[in-house]
This record gives sequence, C-alpha cells and structure tokens, in this order.
Amino acid sequence: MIRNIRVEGFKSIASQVVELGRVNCFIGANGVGKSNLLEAIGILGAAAGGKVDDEAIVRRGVRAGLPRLYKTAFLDERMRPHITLEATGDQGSAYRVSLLNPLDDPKPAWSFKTEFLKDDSAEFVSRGVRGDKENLLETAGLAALKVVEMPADGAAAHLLQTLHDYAIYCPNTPSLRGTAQDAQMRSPVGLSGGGLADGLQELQKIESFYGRHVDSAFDLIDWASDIDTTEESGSLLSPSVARSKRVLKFTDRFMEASRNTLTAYDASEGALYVLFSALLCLSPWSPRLFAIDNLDQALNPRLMAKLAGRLAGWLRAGGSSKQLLFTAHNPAVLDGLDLTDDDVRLFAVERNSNGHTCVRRVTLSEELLKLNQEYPLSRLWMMGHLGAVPNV
Amino acid sequence: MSELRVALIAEGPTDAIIVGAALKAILDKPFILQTLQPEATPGPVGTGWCGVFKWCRAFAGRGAAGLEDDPTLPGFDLFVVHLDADVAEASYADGGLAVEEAARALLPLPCNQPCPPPTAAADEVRKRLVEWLGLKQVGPRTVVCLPSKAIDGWLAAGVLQDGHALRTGLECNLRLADQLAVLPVNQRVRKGRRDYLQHESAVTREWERIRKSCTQAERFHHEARAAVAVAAR
Repeated sequence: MIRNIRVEGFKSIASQVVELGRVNCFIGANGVGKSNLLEAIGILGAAAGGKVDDEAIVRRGVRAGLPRLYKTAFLDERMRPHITLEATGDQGSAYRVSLLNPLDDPKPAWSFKTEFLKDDSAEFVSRGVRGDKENLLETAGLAALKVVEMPADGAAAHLLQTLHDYAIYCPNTPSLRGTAQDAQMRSPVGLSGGGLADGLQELQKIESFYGRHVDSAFDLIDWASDIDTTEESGSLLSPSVARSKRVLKFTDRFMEASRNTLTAYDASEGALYVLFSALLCLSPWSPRLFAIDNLDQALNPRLMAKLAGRLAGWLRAGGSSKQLLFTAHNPAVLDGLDLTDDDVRLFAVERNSNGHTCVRRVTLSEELLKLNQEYPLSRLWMMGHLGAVPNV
Repeated sequence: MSELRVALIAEGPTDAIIVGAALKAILDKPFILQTLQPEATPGPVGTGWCGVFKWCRAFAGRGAAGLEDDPTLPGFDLFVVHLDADVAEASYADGGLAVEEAARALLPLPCNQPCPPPTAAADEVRKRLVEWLGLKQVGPRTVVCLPSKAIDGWLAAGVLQDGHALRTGLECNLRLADQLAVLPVNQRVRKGRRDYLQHESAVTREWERIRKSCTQAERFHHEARAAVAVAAR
C-alpha cells in the first residue's frame, strides 16, 4: 500500500504530507484544494509512467494545465521553480520526482529535475540535479525504463506500478447510463463511468466473488430485486436511445413480472453510482490506488452513509493493497465511516491564513465516541466543530 | 508543528473578517480560522449578539469546564469569542421570547456605562459573555474579543487617515458603521462582505495604529498572544 504522499509546490499545496490508509475520505469547503491533492498523485503517476505531458495526465483524470497554474504562486513566498512529489510504500519503497517546466514558453512535457526510486533491497534510480544530462532525455522518466529490469515482485516495482495505474474517477450520469461516450475508457470502467455493464459482467464471472460481495452492493438498491447484464436490450430500450452492446438490467420488485425490467437508462442514477463504486473497489482489474472525486453525488444521505460503511470491506476483498481516496460534501458520509478502524481515515482539508492547503487527519477521542449518539460526526461537521466548512 | 487552528465565535461574517485580519497581525505564523458562529447554513441560532448568546448557551448546556475541554470541539488550539461592546445597550427582550426566557437567571441587560472610558461597558459585557458560557472565567486558550462600541471602530482606525473627524471618540461612537457608509466614495466603507474584504489587509497592516487608537484592540492583542503561548506549549 502507499503509506505517504508528499506534495510540494503544486497548485494550492505549498507543502503537505498525507499518511494514507485504505479508505481515505477528504472533506472540506469548495476550493480548498481537495482535488489538487488527488491530481498531484496523478502527476506522480504520469512521472512513474515515464512522461508528464497533457496526454499522460488527462488519461489519469487530471485537468490539463499550464505551469503557471500548476506551480504554487502564493503572495507570502517565492515561487518555486519545480514541483516535488513523493510516494512511500511498504518495505522502504519510495519514488520521488522534481518536475520542471518554464512559466514563459512552457514545453509540452515536463522535465525531470530529480528522480529517485528505491526500496529496502536497492536504490534503483538516483537522478540528481548534477546528473549526466547529456545522456538523458530530460522529459523521460528513468524509473519507468528501469522497472523492466527490476524484480517484478519487489516493493519498488510494486510502488511504481501502483502509481502508474492510479486514476481519478469522476462519474457522470450519461456515461453511467451508457448514453454518452466515456472519453477515458479503462478496464473495468471508464473514468466517467462508461462501460459499467461490461465491468460488472466481468466481475460476475468470478463466482465466489460475485455472490458474497457484489450482493452487498445490490443490497443497497432497495427497489431492485435483481441486477444483471444483458446484450439483448431491444425489448428494454427505445430504439432512439444510444446504447452500448451490453447494458445493465434491473428488476423492479414493485412491478408486475412481465413489465418489471429496466436498463441503466431508466434506472435511478443513485443505483448506478453505487454499482460504479462497488465495481472499482471489488474488481481485480481496477487500479490498486484510485480516487473518486465527489463520491456522494446523486446519493441519498442514508444510502451514502451505508455505502461509506462498505468501502473498506469491498477494498479488502478486491486486493490486499487496494486503496481508495475520495472527496465528498454530504455530511452523512462521515456517519458511515468506521474511524475506529485505522484503515479508514478522514481528512479535513482547509486553507490557512495565507491560502495554503492544509490536510489534517481527523481522529476521534474516547469522549467524542461516547457522545456519538447525540453528536454524530455529520452534525459536528455541519456545526463547524470538525473544521473543513466554509467561513460563510 | 502543524498549523494553529483557531475556532471563532463571532456576531457576523463581517466581524469574522476583521477578527481574522487582526489575528494575522497578532500571530507570528499562518493559522487556520474556522468560524463556528455564525453558522455556515441558516439555522436556529442566527447572527448578531443573539446568535453568540445562543451558541454560548448551547455550549454551556454541554457542561464542559471550558471550550478547551469540550469533546465536541476536537483539534482547535485557540478559541476566540467575539461580541461587540454595544451589546451593553441591548436588552434580552430584543432577542425575542426565547432569549428572554433563557436569560432569566443571568446578569441583566442593558448594562451600559458612561463612555469614555470604553472599558467600563466592555468589562460589563465581558462578565455577561463569560456567564453565558456557563463559566467563571475562560480557559487559557480562549480569548474574548470585545471591540468598543463595535468592530467597525477597528476598521475605521485602520483605514482612516490620522486627523479624520471619525477617529475622534472612536470607541464610544454608536453610529460609526452608518457614518462610514456615507463618507466620500474614496473613503466609504459599507457594512458588507465585499467592502470588508477589500479593507482586510489594511487592518492587518495597520494593526499597530489600531492598537494605539483602540484600548480593546490592545487588550485583545495581549490576551491573544498569551493564549497562543499556552497553545504552543
């Protein structure tokens, strides 16, 4: 698992270290920099893949931007020439880069000023500012090349691959319904939710998995008695509706048997967002580390709380090193998180008096746990007692 | 050390802007300011001194020995409770039946005192504020912020030139906010978020001058510094 992420000089983040768990929920006012943190990891992922250009970062769900937007520009400090990003994992593994791109006349790809990759067994890449620049293409990451000759089961290779596969998912309803193309398709599901039916169908093939864990996602969709996928959507959809080859098929438990099936096009969007989250957590084909921006959209508060409570179990079932970072604005999400489990972490994201993004882990005292009945976390958040709310 | 986290209970959003600007001058390091009152969403507490009163009574109801000891307020290093000294002119009945009822056993309002000196009425209001919190005295990391007559005085002291007519009797002027709003355009400050944000940096920059003109700013400065020193231990 990725244990720490360090970000320096990226957008609103002057300097922050975040200690990650398995489920990592980021809350905060709009504009405090939650998405910036997710995007910083996306940039590091692109570096791990060997190239940091618009194509590589957009593929990971990061908004393309010019160096003048990517580099911090606070009034209280000198603008740094580079962005520094680092991830540390298990067994002493660490990957760190400093990336350069001039503000004036920016280049299509960022240059690697420094790059380090190591674990307990060895130091695989050590490219410093005084490295042999003549023999290196500055826009090419050395670690991405080096990984082919590293032990595949080693901690450093594992870390690099985890970062390389990282992506920020931001589902939208048309893509989930299958009526709009997903610009960033991936297995098992696109960054906007495209191909959800195909992804679930793949998961269906893993019988033991499907029964135990996918059912716990279906349990959250109370109006449906069954959920399946089908390629025979002719009788379920109007001919004027664009569709993918395979579609989701829901059985509405309140309707009579001959007219009780409907596709993702007609189903409640909340059901689609639940299935989307479950698929990403459970699927062996989803990235080991991934983010969902605004996990709570379209979800009823009670459903959101239930969903939040299931994430850790789904991730554990999906793989021992699976991790999720997500942002949310619905207070109910806090009531679903089991913060007594160290794998489940809540982070308040705020801006300090100089505008710098600050990320703080919220932990609960014994006294607060006792008061949970009267003062659930959702209420405390709304009251401002946990911070991470706007001063409006 | 992580960033200093400051919880602010204030009468309104414009007050919060000025208190934040003052803290920026007082504290040596960046901090995170979180407004607990007024509430982020329209709720039963409301704004103004009645809002602070209700927030304080809700806190008192939780029975904690101090804001620092309230388990529902985790992770704050410093607490600032703001109330304008012109509350001395108000009566509990102004807040409606609920406020009047809740204040039945409390020290009475109004509690006005001749001004100058501004400290006389401010001290009376301070006593009431501490009583509203259900405390004998505030804790070592809690600071009472009591501008006289209102926080607009600090703003005026920061933005108006020396010798300006409104600088005379600054801490005893009950109509200052109205008067600032009708100044010539280049000096005018309307009571609103936009105008206050425009002058926020002037309050930080001119804090020394504000302290010299406003006794309550000077007191707030020293008490805040002392509380931060405790928080840093």
